[in-house]
Order: sequence, then C-alpha cells, then structure tokens
Amino acid sequence: MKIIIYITLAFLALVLPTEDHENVHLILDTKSSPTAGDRVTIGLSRSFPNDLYLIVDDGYTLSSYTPESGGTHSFNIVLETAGINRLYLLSQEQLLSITSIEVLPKRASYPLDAYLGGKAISVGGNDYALLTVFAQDMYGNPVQDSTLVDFETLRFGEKISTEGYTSHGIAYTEIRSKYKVSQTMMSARVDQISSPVRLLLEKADVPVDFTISTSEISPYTSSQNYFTVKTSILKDQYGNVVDDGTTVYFLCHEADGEKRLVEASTLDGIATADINYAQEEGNFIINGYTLSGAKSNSIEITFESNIVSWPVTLDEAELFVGPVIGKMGELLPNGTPVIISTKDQTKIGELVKGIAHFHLPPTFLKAFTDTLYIEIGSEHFIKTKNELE
Amino acid sequence: MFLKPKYILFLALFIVVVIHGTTIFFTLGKTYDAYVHIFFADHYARSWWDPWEYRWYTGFPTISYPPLSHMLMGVLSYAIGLKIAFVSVMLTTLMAFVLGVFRFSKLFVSIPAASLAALYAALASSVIQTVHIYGQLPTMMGITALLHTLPFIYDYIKDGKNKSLWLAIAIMSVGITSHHVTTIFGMVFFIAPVIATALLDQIDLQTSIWQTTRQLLNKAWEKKIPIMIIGGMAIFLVVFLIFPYWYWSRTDPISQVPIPHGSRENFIKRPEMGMMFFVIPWGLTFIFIPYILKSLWTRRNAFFCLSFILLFILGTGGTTPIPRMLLGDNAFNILTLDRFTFWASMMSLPFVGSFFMRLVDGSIRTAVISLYSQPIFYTLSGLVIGIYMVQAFLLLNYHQFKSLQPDPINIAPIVKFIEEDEHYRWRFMTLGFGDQMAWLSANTRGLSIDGNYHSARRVPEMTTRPLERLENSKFKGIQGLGSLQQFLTVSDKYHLKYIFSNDKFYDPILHFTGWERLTRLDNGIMIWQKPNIKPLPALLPRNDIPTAHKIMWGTIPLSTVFIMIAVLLWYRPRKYQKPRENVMNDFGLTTKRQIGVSLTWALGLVAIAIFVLVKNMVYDPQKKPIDTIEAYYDALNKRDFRKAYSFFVPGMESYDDYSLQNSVSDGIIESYGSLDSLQIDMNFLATKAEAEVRAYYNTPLESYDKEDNLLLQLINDRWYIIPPQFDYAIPPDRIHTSKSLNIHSLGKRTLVSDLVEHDDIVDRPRVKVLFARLIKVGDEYKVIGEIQNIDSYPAHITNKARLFDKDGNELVSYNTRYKTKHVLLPDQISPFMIEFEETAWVDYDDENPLQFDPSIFTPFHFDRQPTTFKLMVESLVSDKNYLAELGITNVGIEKGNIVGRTYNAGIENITIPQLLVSYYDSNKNIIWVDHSFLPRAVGSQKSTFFEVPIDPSKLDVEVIYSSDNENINVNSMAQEDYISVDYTLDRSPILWPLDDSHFYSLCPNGYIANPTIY
Repeated sequence: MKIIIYITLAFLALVLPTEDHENVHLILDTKSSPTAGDRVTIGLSRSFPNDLYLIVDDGYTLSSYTPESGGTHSFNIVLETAGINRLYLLSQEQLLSITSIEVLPKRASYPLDAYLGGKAISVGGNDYALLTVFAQDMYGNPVQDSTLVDFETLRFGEKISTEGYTSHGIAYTEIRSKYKVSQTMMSARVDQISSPVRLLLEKADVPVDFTISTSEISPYTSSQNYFTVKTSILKDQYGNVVDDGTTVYFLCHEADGEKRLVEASTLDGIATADINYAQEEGNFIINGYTLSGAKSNSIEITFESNIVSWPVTLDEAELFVGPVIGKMGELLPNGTPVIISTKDQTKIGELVKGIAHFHLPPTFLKAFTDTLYIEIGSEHFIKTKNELE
Repeated sequence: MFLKPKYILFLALFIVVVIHGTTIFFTLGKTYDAYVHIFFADHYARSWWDPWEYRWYTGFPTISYPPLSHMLMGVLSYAIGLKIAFVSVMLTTLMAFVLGVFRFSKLFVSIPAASLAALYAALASSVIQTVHIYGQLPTMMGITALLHTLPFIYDYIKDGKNKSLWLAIAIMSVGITSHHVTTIFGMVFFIAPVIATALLDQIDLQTSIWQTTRQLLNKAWEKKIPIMIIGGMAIFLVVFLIFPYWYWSRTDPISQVPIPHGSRENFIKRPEMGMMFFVIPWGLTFIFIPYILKSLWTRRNAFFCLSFILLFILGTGGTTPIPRMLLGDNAFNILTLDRFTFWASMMSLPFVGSFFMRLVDGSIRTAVISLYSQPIFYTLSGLVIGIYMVQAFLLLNYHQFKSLQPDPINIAPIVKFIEEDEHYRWRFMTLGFGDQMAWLSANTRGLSIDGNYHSARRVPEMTTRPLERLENSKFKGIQGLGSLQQFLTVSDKYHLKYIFSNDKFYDPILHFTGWERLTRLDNGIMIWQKPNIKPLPALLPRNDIPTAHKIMWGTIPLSTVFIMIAVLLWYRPRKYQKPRENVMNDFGLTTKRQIGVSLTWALGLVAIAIFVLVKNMVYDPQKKPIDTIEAYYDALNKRDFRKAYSFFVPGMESYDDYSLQNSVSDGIIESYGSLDSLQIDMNFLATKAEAEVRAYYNTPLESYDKEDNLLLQLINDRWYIIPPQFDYAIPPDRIHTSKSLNIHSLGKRTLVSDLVEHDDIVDRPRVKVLFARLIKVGDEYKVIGEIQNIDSYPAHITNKARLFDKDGNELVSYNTRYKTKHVLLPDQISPFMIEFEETAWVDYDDENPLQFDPSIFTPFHFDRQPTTFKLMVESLVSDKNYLAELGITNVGIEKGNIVGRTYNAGIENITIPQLLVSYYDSNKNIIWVDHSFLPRAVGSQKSTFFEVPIDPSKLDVEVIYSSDNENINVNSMAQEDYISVDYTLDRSPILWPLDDSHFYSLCPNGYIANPTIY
C-alpha cells in the first residue's frame, strides 16, 4: 500500500503543476524550523471544500492528517523526525500542494549510548581505545552537529576531562594507555545527560628478565622423581605484574646433550613447573624464557648416578637386567624404563621388582653380535656378548 | 475347514491390531526409516504447500518422494502427534494389507486358502521386517494398494466392466502417491502377469503349448482395448499424479554416487547381509519354495511363475552376476534389491495359504497320514506352525537381539538448546544418533547439515560420497570419516556451529579440528561448538518450484484417498467376497515322491542351519597357536576382556589384576582403535611358541601398527598365551597438586532473550602471524607459518588460507586441520600448515576402500598455479582446551628420528598426546610442519616415549611466496593495521639445531577425553 502511495505521489509530483494548483498554498505558522515534538499549525492560503488531507513524509514513514474540526482548514500536527519533512496536501486523490519543512532535533536525552572499542589495552603509551558516543534526542534523532560532548576518565583517582563535538550525532575520544595496570572508568556527558560508565582495562606489557629457583633437590639421578622450578614474579618494564596465563618456557640441558622443554603459565606473575630429575650423571642446566625476549638466570645442578648395581644375564632368549640397585641399597622403582638395543634393534621394557625381563626374538638375537646398549632410566651402560656368555 | 474363512480373516485382523499394534510402539524408534517418514510428515504439518525443506543438507525438495503416507500422518499429527499418527496409519495399512492378500490370493486359490494366506501374511517374516525393522510405511501402503488393485484389473480384462476399471484406477492412484516404485515395478511383475492370467482364463488350456500360445495371442488382440486402457492409465497415472516429482528429477538431477547397500552384496561372502536381506524376508516361506514353484508351474500361472523366478533371482543381490546382468550396472547400483525378495514373498502368499489349508484339512494331511502315520503328520504340522510362531516372536523382538540404532535419546534437552538463545541461527549436526536424528529434526526448526534422505541432497561433499549420513560415518570407511573430517575442518562454509555427539569415537577428530566441548546435556549428549562461525543469512538459497507444481503436490495425493473412498462407496464391490472361477485347490504334493522332495528340502534347510550353529559352538581356536592369537586380538578389538583373558595360561594372572590394568590403559589405540589386520610370525619351540605380532589399527585420526611379542604355551593340547606386561610405572606422589589458570566466559551478563549487548562482547584476542609461506611439494601446495597469541587471554584461532593465481583469481580456500594448536595461551606460538584437500573420491576410478584409511589424503588438483595467498585469521577468547600440561624430556636425534619422552605434569590424563614438529631454515624461517599423534595416553606424572621420523626431502621445499605482514588479515583487518603495539620476539630458546643449516622445534598438544571439569 505504502509503495502505491509513494508511486502515486511521485507521479503526481512530476506531472502536476504544484505551485499554483488551484491556487492553494500551505502556510506554516512559523518562519523558522520547528523542533522535533513541537506542535505545528499549517494553514491554507484559501478555503477549500472539505475532504482535504495532509500527508507527511519524514523520510522513514508516511503519516496522514485531516484538518482541524470546525472548518478552519488548517492542520495541527506534531513532527517528531528531525530533518527535511515533505508535506503533501491532497483532496479527492488530487495533489493540491507540496512544501517542505526542516525539523530540528531536540536536546540529547536518555539513554546516551557510549561504546568502548577495545576493552583492554596494553600499558606503555602506544596502545589506545576509542570511547564513542551516539547522542540522540527523545525521538531517536541524532543531536545537532557540533553539540559539545564532555568525556571524563577516572584513573587511580585522577579525573581527566576532555571535550568533543558531535558529527551526525557521533563523537569520540581516544584514550591512550599509561604505564600502570589499572582500570579506567569513563563516561560521556551531552546536554547534562550522562552515559553509562564504561570500563577500560589496561594490561601489563611483555615481561622483562626474571629469576628462577628450584625446590630442594637430591643429588642423585632418578627417572621417577621430579623437582619444582619456579620463577620470580614476572613484571613488565614498568613494574606491572604480567597477566595470568603468560607462557614461560623452561629449557633444560642434560649432561649428554638431551634437551627438555616444559611450558608453564604464570599465576600472579609466577610460573611453576615440575621437572624430572636428571637421568644422566653430570651437570644439569635449567633456563627460563618467554618468547617476548625475557630470560632468566641459569641454574646448574650436578647429579650423581643413583645406580650402583645392574647385573645382566642372558639365558637363551631370555634377558634379565637387574636386580638394579640404587645408592641406598633399594631396588629402583617399578616402571623405571629400561631400553636395550643393538645397532638396529631396540626393545623397551621396565623394571618390575628391580628386574627388567626381555624375551629376545630371533631377529634381535641375530643382531646382537657384539655390544648390547642398555639404558636404565636414562643412564647408559654397555655389555658385550662375551661378558654375557 | 475347522474355521470359517471370515473368522480366519477376523483373526488375521485381530493379530494385526493386537500384536502389531502393541509391538510397534516399542519398535518404531529402533527401525531404520520410521523417523525419516515422520520427519517428512512433520514437513507437511508445518508447510503443506511449500515442498522446500530447509532443515536437512542445504535444503531439498520433498517432492522427491511420494507424499501420501507423509501427508496422512501430517494431517493426523495435529490431533494425535507424529508418533501416534505413524502408528495409526501403519496399522490401518496393515489391516488393509491383510485384506489385500486375501483378495489377491483369491485369484489363485480358494477362499479358505486365501483366508489362511491372509492369516499367514499377518505375521510373515517379510512383513514384520518391513514394518518393525525397516519402518517402511510407504512400501506397505504401496504393496497394499497393488494387491487390492490386481483383482480389479483381472476382472476388467476378463469382463470389461467399467466398474472394475474405475476401482482399479482409484486404488492404483493411492498406491502411486504412496510409493510409486511399487506400482512401476508392479506393472512388470504383477500387473502384466495378472493381465495374462485373465486372458489365459478365457482360453482352453488343455491343448498343446503352441495352440495355447496362439489362443492367448488371439485373445490378447481381442482384448487389446482394455489392455491398452489399463496400461495407458497406469502410465498416465504414474506420470500425472506425481508429475512434480518427475519434473524435478528431470530438471534438477542429482548426481549422487551409488551408496553401497547390503542387498547388493554376495550373501555367501557376507552371510550377515544374506541373513538380513534374504534369509529373514523369506523366513519360513523358504521352506515352501518347492511347493510354491510346483503351484506356479501350471499354464494358468505361467506368467506369475516367470515373474516369481525373476523376483527370486533379483533378490539374491550380488551373490550371482545374474541380477546385475538383468538390471544393468546403473539400476543395480541404485536399487535396493531386497525389495524383489519382498515382492516375491508377497507372490508366494496365496500358495502358502493353499499349503496350510491342505495341511489342516485337505489332501496333504490325508497323504502324509496314509504314507507315514498320524503322529508324523502332527509332528510335521506342529513343527511348521511352531517355526512360524517362533519366527514371528523372534523378529518382533529383533531389536532385543541386535541393536540397529543407539539407545533411545531424550531429545527434549537438545530441542530446548536449539530454541534458546537463537541457536537455530546456525546449522547443527548429530553424531551417533542413528535415525533418531530425523526425530530430532522433526521436533525443531534448527537446520542440520546432515540428513537422512540421500536421494535429494545437493552438498558436493556428500553427493560425491557413497555415504548415507555423516552422523554414522565411522561405519563407512574412508568415504565416511574422510567426508566428516572435511566438514569439520571447513564447517564455516555451511555455518555448522553445533554438534550433538552421542558417540565418543568422534571426539578426537572434533578436538583436533578445532571444536570445543560446550556442555553436556541432561540426556548425556555432549555439545561441541566451533568458534568463529557466522550465523546463517536471513534468506537461504532454495530451488524455485513452480506454483502449479506446489498446488498439484498439495492437492492430488490426498485427494486420491478421498476419490478411492468415494469410488469404493459408490460401487460397493461386495461380490469380491465370492469365490472365483478357474482357481485351483490342489497343486499336487500328494505322492510319496512329491512329499519326499519337499521334506528333503525342508529338512535340508534345517540341517544347514543346525550345522552352522553347531560348527560355531564347537570351534576351538586354541587348537592352533595362530588361531589363538587371532581370537585373542579379536576379543581385544571387541573389548571383550573376559574372553581375551580366557586365552592366558591359567593361574598366571588373576582376572581382577588384568581387568584393573585394562581399566587404566588408555590412548588412541586402546580407546578408539579398530583392528584392521594382523601379521604374525611364529617360531615354535616344542611345547612353546613365540610370535612376533604386528597389529594394524585404524583410529579416527591415523593408522597405527603396534608390535607385540607373545609367548604361547601348549597345555593339555591347547595353546595359551603368557600374559603380557602392563605399564608398572609408579608416579612419585600419591597426591599431586597443580595450579592452573581457570577462565570462564560469561557471554551475556543480563539474562534476556535479546542479542548480546555490546558491552558484554569481549575483544577478540590479538594474535599475530609471525611468518607465512606458500610452498610446493611435488604437485601439492601448502601454506605454512607460525602464529602467536600476543593478548592476555587464551585465544581460539581459526586460520583459513585462500590461494590465488597470478591474475588474482581465487583458486581454493581451506582451513587448518590437525597441524596446528587451535587454542593458544598468552605468548604461546603454534606452527600451522594448511593443506588443500580435494573433495575425496570424486573420480570413479579412485581406489575405493571400504575400510577407513586415515592416512589417505586427496590433494586439491590445481588447473592454474597458485602464486600468492591471503591468510584470514580470526580469534576468540577461549575458556576451553588450553589445559594440556604436557612437557617434553630427553629429546635428542637418533637414527634419523627425533626421539624423547613426553611428561604429563598436570592432574588430567592426556588421552591423545600430539606433537607438532616444525622445521626451519638457516634464517629460522619455517619450512615444514609435521605432526604425530602418540599412540599411548600419558597419565598424570607419567611419561611415554615418542619417535618422530625426520623426512629430509621436506627440508628442501620450493617456496612460492613468503610474507610476514602482507596479505595477512587478522580479525578482518590487515595485520599491519591491526597490531598497533611494538612486539619483539625471541624464539631462539625453542629452536634447536637439526643439522648445520636447519632447526626444529617441538610443540606439544593433547586431547583430554575425560576432563575433570566436564
């Protein structure tokens, strides 16, 4: 229906002489532009038979009005949409007159929308967020351009005010980060109307170098036990504790060159990781890193072998390693991995009650021509075929 | 007769109502197809006039299936709901079917025999199977209408009365709009023979064969007008009544590759298929085959005899090459051949009725008693009737013995989830629901990318696969899981965001393709979601269906029922209760030889069945060591640990210990593996044997081969296995504490049904692509790189690469699959590799293994060479999947492999550890990414070995294009604009030298199957 009315109006506007049609003119009661919500009286330049009606096109909707009662031939209307409103006077489907009226927006009204783009930024002065305000009057019209907007930020009890001006109802301000982790509260005010408070988080920058330390460590190798290594509180260059979850890598070097990499995440700035004891006697080195370039001190621990006895016997195809005995005369724990290998054959087993039992298939026995490499935990030993025979 | 035929007929109807009527409530949800038809019914209940259904696939037209049964249910559902509507229509159909069998049988046999045929049909195995195992309502409606139509066609050909013609047309119309296939094939196998029989009944059959043929041809010429009218009307009705269907199938053809069906298998090689598609539908009727053939082997029944033999042969599927030769490759690969067996069993019914009549009160009874004795007669009669009853009992309870569907799922929580918070704005998929996915769809407006009606789907990833549904893809080999993997990887293409999983088998694929567990519903269903999936657009594409077709589809099918009722009321065909002429009451089987042959046949069948049973019962695999090992692995594969334990040397290990060790053994092989094959090398040592066993497993992710050395011992002439050792590693602590980061994303903070407020939308975490490259390896192109989370929160990352040729034309796009870590903690780096995969198995010439082979990759075929890429990265704050605390220790390089151990420092059991291995050139720029799923789980405070082979050829790849900023978009912005913070990166600690000019790094990842928090 609306489309038909539009088409009809457009057609009539094109084909009909509008200015002098029937010599009827619409006369506004005000010279200047009315404000949204104001009542406007529209009169006619001369009297006209009844069945007049006025159609107002505000750009979004069409509204129809009939003249005031009492034969006054005037229309009493309220225009709520700011901008150019087109008025069409019609009678018996004939367009009598067209005129335009510009309606101005009212002052800003609740709710005042404020949006924070980027709700968390990094300290350091480079990162920033925008607080954007969309000011509307009570009818949803954007406020007049160049309306003053007061932005207020509250950080560590310090209140800072800045000003901005609307364009198409929108104004924004840039909030640059400072150097301390904080929460910045911010709001905007237009025409004494305040927006809700928005919260901007400022997060720590990347960490700087830190230190690491370990829990008490027994000086003997072990494939079972572990110790704990933890960092100092990781902070950025401004002294802020880094965010929870920051990844710290602990890199360990064994005496035989084997490496370990253990990841840990910070909680309250501290990252903690469990690290297995060295399994090879010698120096064991631990370093901590973050990928943003922070590094720790280096910790070096010297481990002695815990294995004092590891007999090996071969009975046809049955090979027994053990009982493997440790420094305190104890059997090494169940599950300690034992790997036996020749040049191209490997078998993996584990200690059960101090002994690892291997049934050697013919392929293994065939490959066992000279040397048998034995790894208990990760300590390496060698037996020759002659020693076993 | 001891009972009047009409009472027998009442008894048959009573059986339908009481036995089928009570049983169907328990079997409906377990059938193959009932829910599919209910879904269609729901469509018509929701949208009668619009045949476009959005809820499955990307939309499909319901005009692709004759609608009458669905429309009847749809109408009734307004009053009694969908399920009761299905039951009501099915029971009504079954009652009409019993009457149809009676009327059809009267064409061949006397009224008492016809009534016994109807009674037999009420619980015939093919009928029970069609109703209670298949849930095939349209098939039952189709055959019912056909059986009712045939006598009227016979009468019309014979008498030429218009009344018969109108009745035939009216009833045939209902059959066509219910199940047109039945009518179309029925024209060949039923209507043509019945016309011939009507002609034969008007000539003298007691002459020579040539004379009879000549008379028949003369009579056919004489009756050419009625024959042409029947034939013409049948063709016209088939075309006109469902014209929109034909128009659609011609104008919008679907190129679905053939989907394997058990009915096309060789029943000897695959006896389980033979059981389902041949033995069960024939059932007891198979014993009567000699009698049926003898009965059909008359001049009057010659054409039905030919039809029956054809149907019988076609029903044997791929057992012989004959069905393929008769149908041609195309039809053979499309049709389900069990329908021929079903129709053959229908054709048998009159003669089975005749047999029973003569057995109860006729010449067979007399002959058996006179030839043998009365006790033998009663024994044989009791045996036949007993088998009939037992067969019906077993088939009605089939689902108790063999489950065709998962346990019933309460769909209410899922429906609630889809409806709340506008979750229907994304597509969903079910896994492990069986046909209950159709029931779920019938109860929601949510859209599923999957569906249960493959005939009309248009999704290329599906139409190119011989795959019925994605949701049961694990049963469909590479075509199934391969297709599922692709859907899960590029789920954004179809707006697929939610998966309702009822099968943990799929969990590893979901996890490693970037899905995350959302919540477990009250019904036990786990919801998985994929972040970064955009909602469906408000307007979805659809195929336009002409308005005239919509009107035809909405009016004609249902009106056929009203027209049929009107015609039946108008003509009141009561005379069809009267006996017919020309029918035979005695088909032989009265001589000692005939009875002997029949008995031999029947007893032979029983003997075969008993032989198979006994052979299975007395088989002892422990007589041979190799059989012992195979049986042991078979038991392990079936998780039958009690049986596996029975192969161990008695007394060496208690079952409690064994069971306990098994309960804590975990990993991708133990929990998700399926044994593919065994390679066994035996070495005998007197009463002992040692075996090197290489077991090949398929898992949802990869194939594995595991080597075991087993020792066997011969005790009392039976081989036993010496129990293998388990993992005896003892964790150092009894109580292990672990501090971990816990994050919970609230989403909406105000519980309203509106969209999430702007203030509640958290920032997308900042992620940075450190470096990316387009490389070429052989004919394959891959995009590799590294990505880092430089934000404060864990980020779930979606990474898509689009490839372009030198003219800027886009060639293909694909997402990362397994070769990346989808969730990164602050500061973490993950390598990624995007591999461009073709929709697999698009070429008929491709090797087509039925068994899933996860290692098979079908690279995308490029017609033009890619020269550059655009990397589209999107991130969301993740509060899941970041907790795998997996460290790597003892890392070194040995014999061309990177070896070491993984160590679990957390408190969760890491079910499937994964290692991402990246290789770098001398400038420390990434050149290759590899990955490895470790076969064994890593328990808390435990470690496991790993060994990743280094492929030197991958260290020298051809680099096509490299970028550290250009053509990289992060969260819809160019990366150089997006990253406003200066950021230094130092990767040197985690890059380790591989050789003089290369480095490598290891990135551990893992899947926790049973996290404490869920």
